Amino acid sequence: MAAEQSVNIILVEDDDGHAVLVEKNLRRAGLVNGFVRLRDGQEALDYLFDPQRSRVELQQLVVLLDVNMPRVNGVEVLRRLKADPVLSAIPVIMLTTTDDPREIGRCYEYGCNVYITKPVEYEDFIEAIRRLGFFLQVVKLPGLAAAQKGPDQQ
Amino acid sequence: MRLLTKGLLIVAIPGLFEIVLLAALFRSQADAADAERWAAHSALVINKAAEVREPLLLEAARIRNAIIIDDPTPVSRPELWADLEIKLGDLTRLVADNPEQSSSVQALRELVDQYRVWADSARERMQRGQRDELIRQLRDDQGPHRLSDFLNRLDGFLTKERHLGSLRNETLQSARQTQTAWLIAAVIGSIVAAVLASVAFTRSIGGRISVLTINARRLADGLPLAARVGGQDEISVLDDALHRSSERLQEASQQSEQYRSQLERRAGELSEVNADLLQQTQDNEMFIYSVSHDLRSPLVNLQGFSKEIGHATHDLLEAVQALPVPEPDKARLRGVVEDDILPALRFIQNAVTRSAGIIDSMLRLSRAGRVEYQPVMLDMNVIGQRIVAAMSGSIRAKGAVVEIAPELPPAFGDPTAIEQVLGNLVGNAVNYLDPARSGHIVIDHLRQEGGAATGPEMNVYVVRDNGLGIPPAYMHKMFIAFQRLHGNAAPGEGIGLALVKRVVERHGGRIWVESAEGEGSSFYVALPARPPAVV
Repeated sequence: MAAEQSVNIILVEDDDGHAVLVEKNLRRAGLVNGFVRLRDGQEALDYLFDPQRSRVELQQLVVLLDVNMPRVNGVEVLRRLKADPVLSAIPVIMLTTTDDPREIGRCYEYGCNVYITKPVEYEDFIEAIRRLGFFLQVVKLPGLAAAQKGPDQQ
Repeated sequence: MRLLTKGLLIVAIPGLFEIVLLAALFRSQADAADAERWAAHSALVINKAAEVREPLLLEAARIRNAIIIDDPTPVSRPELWADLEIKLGDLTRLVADNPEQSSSVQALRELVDQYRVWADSARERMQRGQRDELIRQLRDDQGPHRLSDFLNRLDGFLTKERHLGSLRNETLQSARQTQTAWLIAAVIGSIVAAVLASVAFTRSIGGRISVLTINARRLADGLPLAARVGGQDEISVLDDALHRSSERLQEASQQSEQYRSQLERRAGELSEVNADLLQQTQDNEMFIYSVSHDLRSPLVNLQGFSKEIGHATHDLLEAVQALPVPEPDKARLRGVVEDDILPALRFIQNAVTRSAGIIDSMLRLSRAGRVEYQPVMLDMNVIGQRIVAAMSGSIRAKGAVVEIAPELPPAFGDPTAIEQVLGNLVGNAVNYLDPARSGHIVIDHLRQEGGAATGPEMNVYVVRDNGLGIPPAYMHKMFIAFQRLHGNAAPGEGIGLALVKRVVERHGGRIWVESAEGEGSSFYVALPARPPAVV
């Protein structure tokens, strides 16, 4: 695992407390991936749609996306991402307190890859993040595979 | 004038006329018969007169004969004079009505007597042998032996009688003519009387009755009536009644129009209010939803970081343990952590868990108003059995018996929601048993005896238990959220029945409870028996 390049994690979350809890528990689960915290949907859009960002870098990202955020909310970010031909390949994991089935259905319609509800019970929360961490350690993305094969085969 | 009177007049007047005509007819007939009789009478008189003349002439011939053969025996026989007397008597009687003729007959009678005297004297003379004297007398033109006076008188009588006869014939003719005229008049008069009567009837009664009939029909159809018929009899009374009825009908229909428009207005207001209420309920539920959802986020932090504090404290303890510090100091530090920090954290965490539970309940309750149902016809027996099977563990653990009545009728509703309702009720019954006796719970339905309370399209199911029962003071709070009666008997937030009520009402049904404290409770649920009719 160490020899491979692992994904970088973008966490888009407005609540500082939640952000701290998620990162702490991901690290406790053994995650050593790169970690970037963004505060709201606008920052996320600015980051991801930044023309300076290289394609290689974009292809290594996994986005953890909260739904209820000021300025631009998570569903809008999801929609913009999945509408863009280049960025639509980025896996998006909705990580939010809402468990309204209509909200969940909408996110899947827009193309999110996974939807996780943050439980209040901390044990469950930690468990969920841990499993997410394991998942992120083994996940492979198309860009990565291509990069490993060699640039001339892209 | 009364109708009967009019009718009688219409019949009576022509009738009277007819009677008069008939009387006149009979009268003229009698007159004609009379005239005929009188005409015949004259003929009779003439005959009778002839009957008087012939015997006398015969007697004159006989006397001459007797003189010639000189035999006086056949002369002046008494039978002759008796016969003549009779005939003269008849004649007298026959002309008794006419004094002129009567005196003529009287004169004739005297002449006959005179002749009789002569005839007698002639016979005497012949018997005495004075025949030659007699012959000499006979040669004399004048004298009683001549019947000339008599014959003249008789002729005059006859002429008169003939004259009378022709007069009477004329009378007869004119009488006959009169009779015919009366007959024709009677016929024509009858026809005219009939025509007049029918005209009078039509104008006075028939026409007005047909107007009345038209009016009656128009009244029945609710159309305006024709003008009033005049008059002062029963027909006009009827017409009055019809017109009054028509007016009343109009008034009544105006009133009913008013009521109807009032009713429509009220119905409109009612449906507006209903729509408002519905909107309010929905707004409320949206509010509850968003608030409860927003409350979760801080709870995540509370719980998470109190756990982090716990972790950090454990790390602290371990670090303390590793310190090169005397044991009593270590024990004191440990004490602070274990006796103060950790218990405090536990309380905080329990409170957070509790809050989270309440928020979850509120979310579930608000969702019950928003979730979409997919109703179908449900087999309630199957649902009951599924519930009992799912709860079999706790049922057995409490030593209770749950009985499902056979042949529960089907209901129309969302399968998940209805199972939730029934499950909640049975669960409550199992949880709130009376420890003094073994629990007996029945799932049944009410046989309809006049479903006035629930409407004709509802099936009423009941979950009965012999548990703790509900004190009267709490009955009205049963279906209100967060009002727990037996708080410690079983875990839960106390929204179960509020949820159940919302679900049942969204299905168009009703839920209510009857209970006796210490004996048990019965929860009734009315649900639609079939899908609503599509209008």
